Amino acid sequence: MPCDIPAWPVARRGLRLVGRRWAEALEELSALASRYPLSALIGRSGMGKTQLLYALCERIDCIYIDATELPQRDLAHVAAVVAWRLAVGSKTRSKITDVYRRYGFQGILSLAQGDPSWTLSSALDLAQGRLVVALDEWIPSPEDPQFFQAASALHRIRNMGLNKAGFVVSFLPEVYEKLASKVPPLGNVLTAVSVQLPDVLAEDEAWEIASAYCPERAKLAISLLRARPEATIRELLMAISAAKEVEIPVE
Amino acid sequence: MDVAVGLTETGKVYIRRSDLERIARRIGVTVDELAARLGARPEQAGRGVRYVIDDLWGIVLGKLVELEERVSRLEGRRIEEDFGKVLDQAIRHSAGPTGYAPLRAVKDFVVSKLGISDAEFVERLAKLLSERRGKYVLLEGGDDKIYVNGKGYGYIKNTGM
Repeated sequence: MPCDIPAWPVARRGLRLVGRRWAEALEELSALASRYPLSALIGRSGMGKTQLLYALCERIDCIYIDATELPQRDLAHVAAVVAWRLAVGSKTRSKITDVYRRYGFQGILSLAQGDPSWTLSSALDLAQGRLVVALDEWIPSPEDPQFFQAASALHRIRNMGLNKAGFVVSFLPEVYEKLASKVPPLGNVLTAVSVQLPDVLAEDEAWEIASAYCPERAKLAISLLRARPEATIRELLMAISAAKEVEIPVE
Repeated sequence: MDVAVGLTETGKVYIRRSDLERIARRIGVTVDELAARLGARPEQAGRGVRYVIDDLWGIVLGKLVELEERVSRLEGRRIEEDFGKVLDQAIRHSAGPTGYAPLRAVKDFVVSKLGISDAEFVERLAKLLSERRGKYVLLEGGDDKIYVNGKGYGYIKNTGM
């Protein structure tokens, strides 16, 4: 198998999810997303959260939103994105589709800024069956100036108790900890519906992940992991992609 | 044991050779070794020999300082052994739903339990992290950070490795 280690290892669509514990997390998250209006995926930076959300969206009817694209992380913008994605392909006549046809995305955003909850609920009525909305990078750091605004949007989604959608939100552990301590009503609920990715890699997982990209470098991955057991998947891939080809003895 | 200690004409302390021999026998060293440790030099005194200690107070104070250093070294070793245990205990007490604990809360617990300074906490944590790689994961995010090895960390977790 040829070596195809990404020099810039960020999540990519279409990649096979590797690692037993990641496969288990995907199963668990699928179950939560299919059942609850809100669930959380927690993991350190570079440990596969986005890749797992991509895998989730390949498996079920899903809208993936990378919140770094949004100028504001509030309910109005989420509602507008969800409404816009659903209105694009919808044949149903509704206020949402009418506004979209007349005024495009800006019209839907204005509608959502006026009444975000109504816009979201009305948009979800356009979906064929249950829809999963994967919200990635929603609160990228605990020091985020929009932290409480973004948390309020999740709080509102929790309170709406949507039965036609499951929002899956990814969090860094430090963001989740802050959320749980600063907004307890939200933290308490999320704790019961969260999936946490491993904090450190096991050697067999490092072997499996490295082998998926380049079997010849799997031994190197193990050596690097032994030297830095706290290394993330991203750090490991960057290290093996940068390392020169050398024979590493591993017992 | 009667030991004849006297003062020379110049006010220095001396011990008779026979007394020094008795003490040396008792503690299991030779007279010369004991004299060297005390910084005492032999001197003819009439028909006998006496050992004059030129700087008695220097020797006594020097020994006290040496003892103090040994005690603090021993206590340091104890703190080092306890540091890991108390750190784990602090993490358990402060950890939230993800298992990560705010490093500031962990530090406050450890320094108050072991009676060490904030700077000593950082030094011992840095040492522990390099000795037990993989046992702890530190996160750079957090409102309240503590700087270890040039990086600010807000949270810590014991991975159990």
